[in-house]
Amino acid sequence: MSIAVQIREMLEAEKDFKMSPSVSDDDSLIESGVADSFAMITLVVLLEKTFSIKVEPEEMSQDVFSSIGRIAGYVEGKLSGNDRD
Amino acid sequence: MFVLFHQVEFLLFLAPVLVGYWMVPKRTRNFFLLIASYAFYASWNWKFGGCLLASTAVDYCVGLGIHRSSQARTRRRLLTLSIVTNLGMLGFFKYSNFFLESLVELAGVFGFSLDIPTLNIILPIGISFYTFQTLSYSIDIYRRKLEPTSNLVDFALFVVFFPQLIAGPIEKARDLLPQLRAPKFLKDVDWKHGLYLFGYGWFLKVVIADPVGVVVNEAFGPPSATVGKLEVSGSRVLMALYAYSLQIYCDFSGYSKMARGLACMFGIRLSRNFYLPFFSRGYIDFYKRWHITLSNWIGEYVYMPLYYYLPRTRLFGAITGTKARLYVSAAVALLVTRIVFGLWHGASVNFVLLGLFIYCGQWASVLANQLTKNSSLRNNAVHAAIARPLQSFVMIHMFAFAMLFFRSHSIEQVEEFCKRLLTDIDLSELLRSDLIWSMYLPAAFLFSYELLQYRRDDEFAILKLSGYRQLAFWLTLATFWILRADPGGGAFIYFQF
Repeated sequence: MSIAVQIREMLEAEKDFKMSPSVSDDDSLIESGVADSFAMITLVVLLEKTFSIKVEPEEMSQDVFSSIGRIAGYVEGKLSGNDRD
Repeated sequence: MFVLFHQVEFLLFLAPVLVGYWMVPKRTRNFFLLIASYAFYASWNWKFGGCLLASTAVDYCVGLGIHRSSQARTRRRLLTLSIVTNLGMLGFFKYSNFFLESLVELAGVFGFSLDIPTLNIILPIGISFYTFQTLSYSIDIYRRKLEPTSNLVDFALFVVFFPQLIAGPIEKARDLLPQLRAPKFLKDVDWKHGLYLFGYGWFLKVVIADPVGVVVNEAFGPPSATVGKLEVSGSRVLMALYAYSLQIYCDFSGYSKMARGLACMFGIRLSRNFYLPFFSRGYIDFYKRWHITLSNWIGEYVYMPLYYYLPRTRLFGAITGTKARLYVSAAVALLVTRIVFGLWHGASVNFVLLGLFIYCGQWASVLANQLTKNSSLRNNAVHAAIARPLQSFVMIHMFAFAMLFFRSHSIEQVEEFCKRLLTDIDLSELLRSDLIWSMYLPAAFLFSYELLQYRRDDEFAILKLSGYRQLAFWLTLATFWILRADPGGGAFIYFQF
């Protein structure tokens, strides 16, 4: 299962998010109403738990955490970085 | 003066502009609408057209400059120019006296006596709205979320489009500019929704907001007064707070609906600025429904950048864990945002207090949400039957109390009215017979109609009802109009911002 699909399922399962099938991987999570800034905190916690990664505050930005596609790209980068370590 | 949508003079402006717009050749329509929009603004005060032109010229050039430049430093400098120009104008006209007075007071605290006279400044109408709109254009180009337009007419019309020039909705260029550029056809105009929005907005302003203002003025004094009343019973203050909640909602949402309706007649779709705010589930939800475009603007350009920036600062280094840092960051960013939101409305301590009150309300909402989100009670029928109406009930009362900061003339009036609310309440005064007609009946009508929209999740629900139900609705509106309309009522409340 791709990381984007896993993130989508995560957003669908968690009550903090208002996920709908019409939200594409490129849609902004904030602008499409899926999440607000408090829900983004939940998302960070879930990402750390599900993918066993550590999200550093300096890595967080409006760009990186804007959409499912971008978050998936960030997680992939972290995982490949971890593998190299 | 054409700028008051609810007065007959405006129709004398609208009719020829609307006919002319659809009659002139397609390629000249935006130019025609631009000239009409400048004439609309000049009918209030042509001298302040200079601010509009300055904002237009600077952001047009800045937008192209940022896009063409590949150097980060040049791009940053150009963006700074836009920010300084727009916020500088806003700051000068809106906040000069506030800062001068604060400076004198601060000097007094340290034992110095400063004699600085306040300036006699008129606030250019609409400046808080169009400066935010043009700023968003330059910021979006800087963030590479938007391509600039090289067509000066299209851009100038984006700044000055008359239906939303004076009090919003605050549109983002990425939503409005493509619409202005697109060819439009008379046959595509949604007259039904446009006329409904304009007519219903007019009804809210003329039939509910203006007449109910009498109850408010009885307690607070007229809005134009420099000193507010103090010798008022707590019951009257209480009544006035609910009356003002009704007035400001109908006044501002009425204006916003009229603006959307007007834009619709020109083939433009403006953003929804209000959506049933008194049915919200708390303060967080409230600001997704009340003055939505300002909340979105501040959220996107102030709150979110701060929220992501703060955890990376040295100041936050002492906080361990990303989650904790983000929570503290959210707390600080929200505080700044709410103070900006308060001060956007005007330069006074009252508005700072308003921002702080909303801040506390929003945190209460967040905490309540966190505590109950996994509760098994949350999705059952009891919750739907009791908790949801209770949330709206609490929200309405918190909003009414916040209006104390919003409508008071001074901090002394806030203090005095707070005391009287706690010590001088006679509930029988709330049952005065004149209030039934002036306040309770319109409020009951509004509530029933909004309940229908809420249940169907459709602001146009009435247009989808059967013929006789629609007839009953329009007859009710007509009856209210005949008995209550105040067509000579004052300007829209948000014009002062």
